[in-house]
Order: sequence, then structure tokens, then C-alpha cells
Amino acid sequence: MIDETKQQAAVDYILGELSSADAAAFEKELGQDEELRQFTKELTDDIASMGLAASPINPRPELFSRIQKTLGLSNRTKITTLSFLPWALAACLAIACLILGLNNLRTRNLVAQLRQRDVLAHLQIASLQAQVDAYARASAIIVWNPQRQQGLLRLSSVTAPEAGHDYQLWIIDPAHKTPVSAGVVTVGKEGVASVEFRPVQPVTSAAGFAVSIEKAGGSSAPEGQIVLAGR
Amino acid sequence: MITAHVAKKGIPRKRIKNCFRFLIGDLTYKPVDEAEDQYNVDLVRRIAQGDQVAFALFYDRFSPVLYGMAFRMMNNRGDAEDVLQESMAYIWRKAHAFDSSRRSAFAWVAMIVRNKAIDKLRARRRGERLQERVKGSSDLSSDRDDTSALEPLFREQRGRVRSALSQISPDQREALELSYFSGLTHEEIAAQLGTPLGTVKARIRRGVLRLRQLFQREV
Repeated sequence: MIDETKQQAAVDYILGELSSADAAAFEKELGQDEELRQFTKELTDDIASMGLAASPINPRPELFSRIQKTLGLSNRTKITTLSFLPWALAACLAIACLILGLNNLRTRNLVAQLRQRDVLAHLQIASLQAQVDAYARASAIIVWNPQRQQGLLRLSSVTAPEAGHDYQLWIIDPAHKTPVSAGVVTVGKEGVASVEFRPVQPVTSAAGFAVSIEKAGGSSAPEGQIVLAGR
Repeated sequence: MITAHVAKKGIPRKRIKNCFRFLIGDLTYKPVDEAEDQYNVDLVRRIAQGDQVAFALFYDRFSPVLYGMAFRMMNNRGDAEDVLQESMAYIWRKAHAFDSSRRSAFAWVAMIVRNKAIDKLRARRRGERLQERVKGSSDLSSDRDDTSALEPLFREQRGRVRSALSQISPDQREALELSYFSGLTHEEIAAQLGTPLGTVKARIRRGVLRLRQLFQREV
């Protein structure tokens, strides 16, 4: 328990009311008395906080420069600039990301265009000619994509084959001894067929296409009459 | 349980508690708590190592409050600027001497400003101006520049201090404010008020202890 005399001494010490000798004696006592030291510390904080009762006022902006000049310190602007450095770096990073993002988008579009152009460049288009008089009016167009190994056949003005028979599409590839089957083609009542096809074996080079009449369900190798062919 | 969990992650338990107190509208929450003081102490330590950025941060943080104090004591803009300038120069040169075990960082700088202002006041001995200011010293309701202060950090604590001052007896408050802001010695205050020195000292001591009691009750 801090007695009244010590309390008064602490208050006088904090407010600067003690003589130099008394202040030195009190400081010596502080070094020996932990309770008094803690009491004085808390009282100092409490008394100092009275300064907050005064209304805060912003000093003139140039005052800090004056202080720096007096102390021989560097200009504050530089310090302020440095304090904004992280924000400046963040802004640069954001701009760089934006530019890279736009560039990436442009590159993707370019690649897509090139791919598209590449696909079209490799597409093979063939028009088949009638091999018998009965199919003189028939029209057959084939679009073949060798990369994807698939194609599209469009037939028109073709009569349906006799019962028990089907049209079958063949791809002539020099790499194979016999034509490669591309499946059976079913013709509708209007004599039109539009079929997506895939060969039963990989085709290295489509040298030509042919349509024959085979037994229903198709054959593994052409046995019937070839009615349309072309390259 | 939540606080314990978060505290394990490294956030001081006291700061979490203060956040909850703030959220539930506890107006006695102290804005400048231990964590706040620790930040200020770190700034002073950096200043002691010659860190100019820390010095600038410190100035931005404290200058409105310190200048307000100086202005109240000097009642003159030029003199208040001189006091702040001398105080900041002292802080730059003597930061290594700051002892956080003896007082908070704010207490250290506030008492530096007060002492610098008192030195000036006593040197000039402007008795008449002091007399006028003494009469009008109790401006607890004054809000000269509260809203324009750069740093609102101390706003709540200021309200707390003013509230506490308003709760102590008028004679104690008068003696305390004269002692803190006017630069008068206790003897001069006694003469000014026509009151025995012992009475003035007792009023100041009781006023300080009452303030302490009010602060502790709030915390």
C-alpha cells in the first residue's frame, strides 16, 4: 500500500515539482520499491493522458519539413514516396497482369484461327461419277478429313437398291490391298442420303472413293457392282 | 473458445476481447490499449535506430494531439509550433533513452511537450496572458479541430479523459488543469487562487487519484 506521503511525492515528481535532489532521491526509491515504481508508472500514464483533453489541431504541413531541416534529415517527400512504393508495385503488377491477360487472349484467338485454317487446308473433297447408266443423274459429294479420319457423304437422285441389298461406301487407299469399308449407306424415299462415316481401318491416303451395291448389311470387301466412283 | 482458438493463431487475446467489446458497443473500450502502445514503443525504438520513416509515421500519428496540447498551453500558434518542433527534435535525439517500463510511449511524448511548453512559458512569464487563459482554461466541451485531425486514433480516449475530468470536483479540476497546462508551479497556483500551498497540493493529488480511479473503473 502506497501511503499518502509517497503518493504526493509521486505526483510532485511526475509534474516536475520536486527539486533536483528530491527527484534523485525519489528515483532511487523507485529502483528499490517495485510497488511504488508500478504505481508511479500508472500515475504517469494517467496524468499524461490529461493532454488529450486539449483539442487536437493539425499543425501546418510545412512544419515537419522545418523539423527535418533542423535535424539535418532527408526531405519527407522521399519518405512519403517510399511509403507508397508497395502500392506503386502492386499497381504495376496489376497492369502487367492485364497486359499479359489480353495478350494471352489474343494468342488463343490466333491459335484457334490457325487451327481452323489448318483443318480447312487439309480437307479433301471428292465428287463421285456414275459408273453405270442407271446412276447417270445421281450426285455424290464426299468431304474427307484425314486428320480426324472421318467424312461426310451426301447422295441425291439415287434410287433405293433392290430388297436384300444395301449401298456401301469404300475408300481406296494404296496402303491397303483391298478398299477399306466406310459403312453401309441407307437412302431415303426421296433418293437422298446424308451420312457421316468412319473407315473400319485407318486410312493413310484416300486416293479415291466408291459406292457399290452389296448384300444387306454390307461386305468386308467389294463384291457387288460399283455404281459411283471418283477422287 | 473462439478467442482461445484465435489466440493460438497468434492474435493477442486482449485485442480479441477488445474487438468483442467494441462490437457489443462497450463505450469504455480503450482505443489505445497495450497492443497500441506496443506499436508506439516499436516506433520509438526504430527512431532510436535512426529510422526516418518511423519518425515520419510517429509525427503523423501524434502531431495533432501534441500540437493541440502545445497550443492550449501556449495560446499562440507560433509558440506552439516551436514547442512541437523542439519536442520532435528531442524525441529524435533522445529516443534511445525512452524506457517503456517506466511509462507508455504516449506518456513519454506528452510529458516532453508539456515540459518544453512549461520551459517557454516560465521563460516568458506572460502573467497577464496566463491570467486570461486560466480563466478560460476549462474548455472541456471545446472541439476546436476534432473532425479535421489527421489521426482519429485518440478520439475515443479523449472523450474518456474529458468525461473523467468532468466527474472530479471543480476545485480539484481547476488545480489539476492549472498544474498541467499553465506552467505555474504549485506555489504560483496557490498564490493565484489565494489558497494555502498544502491545500493546492492535496487537491492535485486527490484529483489525480480520482482520475486514476475513474480510468480503472472503466477498464
